[in-house]
Amino acid sequence: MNSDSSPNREWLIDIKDLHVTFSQDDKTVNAVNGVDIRVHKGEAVGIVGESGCGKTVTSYSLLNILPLNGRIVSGEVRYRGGNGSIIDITKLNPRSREMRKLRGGEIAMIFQEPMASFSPVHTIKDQIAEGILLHQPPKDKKVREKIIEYLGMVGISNPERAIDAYPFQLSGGMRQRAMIAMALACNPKVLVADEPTTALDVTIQAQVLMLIKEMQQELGLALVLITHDLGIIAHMADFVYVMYLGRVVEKGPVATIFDSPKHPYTRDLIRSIPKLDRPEKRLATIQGNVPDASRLPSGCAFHPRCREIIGEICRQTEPVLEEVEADHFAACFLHSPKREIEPGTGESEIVQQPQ
Amino acid sequence: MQSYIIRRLLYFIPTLILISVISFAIIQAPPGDFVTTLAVQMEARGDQVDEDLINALRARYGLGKPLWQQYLIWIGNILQGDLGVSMAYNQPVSRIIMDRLPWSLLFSFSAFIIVYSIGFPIGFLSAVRQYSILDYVLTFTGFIGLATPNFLLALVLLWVYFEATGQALVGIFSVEYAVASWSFGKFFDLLNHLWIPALIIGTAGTAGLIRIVRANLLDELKKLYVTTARAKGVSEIRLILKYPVRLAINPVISNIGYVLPALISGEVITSIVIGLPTIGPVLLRALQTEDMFLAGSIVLILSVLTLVGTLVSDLLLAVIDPRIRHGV
Amino acid sequence: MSNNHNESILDVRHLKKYFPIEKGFLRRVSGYVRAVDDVCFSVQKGQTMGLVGESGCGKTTTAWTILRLHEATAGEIFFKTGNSEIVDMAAVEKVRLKEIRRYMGVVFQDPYASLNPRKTVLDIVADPLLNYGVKRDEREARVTELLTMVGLDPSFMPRYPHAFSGGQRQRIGIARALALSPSLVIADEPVSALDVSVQAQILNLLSDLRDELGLSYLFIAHDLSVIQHICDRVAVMYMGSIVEEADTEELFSQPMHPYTTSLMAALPVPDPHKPWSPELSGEVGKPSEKGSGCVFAHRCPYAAQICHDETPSLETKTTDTKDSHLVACHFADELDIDA
Repeated sequence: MNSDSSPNREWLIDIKDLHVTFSQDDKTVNAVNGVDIRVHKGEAVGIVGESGCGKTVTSYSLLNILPLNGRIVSGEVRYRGGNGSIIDITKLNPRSREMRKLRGGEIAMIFQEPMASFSPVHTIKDQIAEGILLHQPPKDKKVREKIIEYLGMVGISNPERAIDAYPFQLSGGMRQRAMIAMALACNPKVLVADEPTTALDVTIQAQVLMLIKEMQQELGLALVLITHDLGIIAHMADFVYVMYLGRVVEKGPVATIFDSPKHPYTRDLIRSIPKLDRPEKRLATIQGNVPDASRLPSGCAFHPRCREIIGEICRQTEPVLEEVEADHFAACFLHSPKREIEPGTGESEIVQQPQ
Repeated sequence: MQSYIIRRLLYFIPTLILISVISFAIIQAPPGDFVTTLAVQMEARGDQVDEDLINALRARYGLGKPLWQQYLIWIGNILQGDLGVSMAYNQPVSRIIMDRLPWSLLFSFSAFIIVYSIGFPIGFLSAVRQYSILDYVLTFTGFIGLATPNFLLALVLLWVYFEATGQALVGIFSVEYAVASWSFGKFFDLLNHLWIPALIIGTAGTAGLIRIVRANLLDELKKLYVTTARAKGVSEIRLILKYPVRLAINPVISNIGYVLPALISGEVITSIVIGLPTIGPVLLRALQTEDMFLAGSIVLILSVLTLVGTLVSDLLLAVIDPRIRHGV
Repeated sequence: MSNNHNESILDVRHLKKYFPIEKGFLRRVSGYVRAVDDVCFSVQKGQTMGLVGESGCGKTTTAWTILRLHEATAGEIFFKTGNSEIVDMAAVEKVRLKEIRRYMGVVFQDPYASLNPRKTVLDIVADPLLNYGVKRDEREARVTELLTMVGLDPSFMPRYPHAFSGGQRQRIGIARALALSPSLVIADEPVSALDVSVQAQILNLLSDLRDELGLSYLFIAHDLSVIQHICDRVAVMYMGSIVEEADTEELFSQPMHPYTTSLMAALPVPDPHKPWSPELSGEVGKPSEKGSGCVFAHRCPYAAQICHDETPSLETKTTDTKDSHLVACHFADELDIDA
C-alpha cells in the first residue's frame, strides 16, 4: 500500500490519454476513451469494472495485441526498458521484432480461461518452451529442467509428469498454475492478469490468487490485475483504477477507494455486492444497465444511472479526473470546483431501453 | 487410443456387410434372374442356347435357392475373386474391373492431390487475409467452382483445349501413343491427358475444401490460445502455422470421407464426357443394360474403397489429435 | 425464517444419481461416478433452499434429477403439485411428467444461451403457455402481465433477445419460468453470469417475486455471499454429498463443517482491512475415485484416521437454535472453527 505517484518513483508503464476503437458491423465502438494509467516497479495495480468498461481492451493495448478490428486511435503507452530507454508501444508495428521482444519477455500476460488459453493439441512443455526459447534461451541447463523448475515453483505437484501432459489432462487450477509458470518463465518485469480466476472455483481461486501475490512479491514484479470482482481487488491491489464505459472514473490507493469512494459509480458498485460479513435484507442496486459502448451517453457517461446527478452539467460536460484528496482522484462534478449548482434538477433518469 | 482403433475397426465390419447387402439387392433388383435374361438375349441374337451352360451357371450362383443362400454363395464367390459374369461384355466382371479400376484410381488420386494441394493453401490465404480483395476473389472463384456442374466444366475445358492446341482431348493417350509400348513420350502424353480430367473431377472438391479450411481457420484464429501465443512474442506466421492451422487440419482430415464419394461420382461424369477408359462409363452402361453383376460389383468396390478412405482418415485423426488419442 | 411452517413442497430422500464409467472398446461399465450420493433435503413452502458448492459437487445434477431430466439411480423425490397432490418425481410414470412439470419453473445460468435468438420475447415467454394449450389472446395478456411483473416494459414483446442486456435477458428468463404459475422455481446459478450491479437487481427481483407470489425456490449457486443473501436454509455440497445443512443465519454465524469454513475463508471480502487467509490446499477429488470415509478427508486439515475409514452421517448437532443444524463430520462437536 505504498503507492504515491510522486515523481521520484519510477514508473514502468505509463498510459496517457489512450483511445481505442473497434469496428463492428459498420459501427464504431469506442472501447477506451482517454485512459491514463501508471504502473510502478513492484506495484500491484488493479483495474476494476463491469463488462464493456474497457479494462480488457486496455490490457491488450499494453501488449499491442488488439484483434484486427481494434485500433489504437491516439494516446501513448510508454514502457521503460531495463536500460532506461523509453519505448512508446503504440508507435511500434504490432508485428515488429521490437514489439515481440517486449511481449512475454518484458510484459507477460495470463488470461481468463485456462482451458482456452492453451492449445489443446500441444503439450505443456511445448507451449512453455516456446517463450523460453524466444526470450531466455538457457545456456547452462536444458529447457526441460527449467520448465520443471518453474512448474514446481507454482505449486504443481509432480512437475516431471505434468510437463508432458496435454492441457486437458490437468485440472482447471493446475492449468492456471501452468499458465502462470509460462508467464514467469521468461523473467518479465510486468505481469498482466486478465480475470485470472473468474473461471475457477472459490477455493482454487484463492490458491491461484495467493500464488500470484507470492510470485509478485518474490520476483519484484509489477502486477496489473484486471477483474470485475471488488473482493479480489481489495486483497490483491495496492492502487485501484475504477473504469466505466472506457474511462477511468476514479483512482486511488486501495484503502481510500474502499473507505471513502467518491464517484457515485464506485459507491454503488461497492454497495451492490452481497457481503458475507454484513448481510442485508435488500441489496442496493444501480439503476438500469450498462449502455452499449457504440452509443455513449453525452456528458458524464454514468449520468443516466447516477443517483447523485446534479443537473445539466452532468448531461452535457464530460468530467475529468481531479484530485479529491492526496493521491485520490475522481471524475465527477460532485467533487469538482467547476460544479455549477442548478436548482431543481436533482432527480435521476432511468434509461432502460434496449438498443 | 487402442480401444479407439479397435472400436473403429469393429464399426467397419457391419458397415461392410450392409454395403454388400445393398450391392446384392441391386443385382437382384430387375425381375427374373440373370441366367434367364442371358438365355433370352442369346435367343434374341439367334444363338443356340446351351442348356448345359445355363444349368451350370444356375448351379454356380445357386439360383432357385432362397435369397439368403444366394447371397452367401455370392459373397463366397467374391472372396474367391469371382464377381460373376457380365452379359453385356460377355466377360468375367473381375476382368472388366481390373482393366479399368487402376485408371479410375489414378484419376481419382490425382484429383485428390489437386483438391488438397490447391484447396488448402487457398483456404489458408483466404482466412489469414479475411475481407481483403484476395479473399473476395478466392471465395468468389470457389463459389463458381462449387456451382459449376462437372460435365459443363469438362465440355468447356475440352473446347478451350481444342481451340488452344487444335487437338481433341479425348481418352488417355494421343493417337500415336495409344497402342505404343511404354516410353517417356507415352508417360508425358499420359500426364498431359491426366491433369485436365483430374482438375475437372477435383473442382467441386477443391471449392468445398477452400470453404472448409477458411471457415475452420477463421474460427481457430479467434481462439484465446492464439492470443496467448501472440502475447508470448511468437511471430505471426509462426504462430498461425503452429497453432490454428494445426487445429484446423482436423476437420480437413475428417472431410476426406466426404471428398471421396464426390471424387468418384465426379469421375463417372467426367469420364463419360471425355471418354476415359475408367470404371465410370462402364457403370453407366451396366445400369442402362441391366447388366446387374457388373453394376452391383462396381457399386460394391467403390463403396468399399470409400469406406477404407474414411477409416484411414479416422485413424489419421487419432494420430494427430491427442484429445482423440486420450479419449477426451 | 419459519420453524412453524412445516409444509414441505419438495422432499428429497436418499437421492442417488450414479453415472456409469465405460472403459475399453466394448464400453464395459468399469465403475460409477457418484454424482449425487445419498442426498436428503426439503424445500418448505414460501422459502428458499440453497444448494452451494464448487463445480462437480453434484448441485446441478441434483436439480436435473428432481426435474427428471436424469433418471434417479435410487431414492425418492416427493413433490407437492399445485393441486396439492404429492408425487414421487423419481418414480412417477413418464406420461404424467408434462402435467407435473408445469408446477416447476426453471431459471438457467446463462441468459445468453438459454433464450432462442430467433424467437421474439413474446414467443419465448409464451412458449410454456403454448405447450399447455393456452389460447392466443390469453397468452398475450399473460405475457404482458409477466413482463410487468419482472420489471420489463410489455412493449418489448416483439423484440428479439439480442436487443437486451444480460440483466434484461435474465428477467425474460424469469418471466418464462413463471408463465405457468409454478409452485417451485429451480434457479441454477441465475446470477453468476451477470455484472455485479445487475446481479443485485436480479436477486432483489427474485426475493420480491417469492414474497408476492408465495413461491418456493431451490436456489443453486457457487457464490456463498449470493446464497447467504437470498436463502432461508442452505445445504453445502461436496463431491455428491451434503456435508452441512442449516438455516442461513445459523450456518454463516456458526459453521461446523471444516469444508464450510474453508469455503467462507476462501471468499475475498470486498474490504481491504479485513484479513483474507484462505488456507485450503488441494483440489476437489474425482467423484469416480471416491472411497470410504468422509468425502472431505483428503483436504481436511483436521482429518484423523477415522475420517478416512468411516463415512460420517449427516446428523443434528446440539446448538442453541431451535432449527436443526445438520453436519456430516466426526469431530463437529469438538472442532472450534467458527468463522
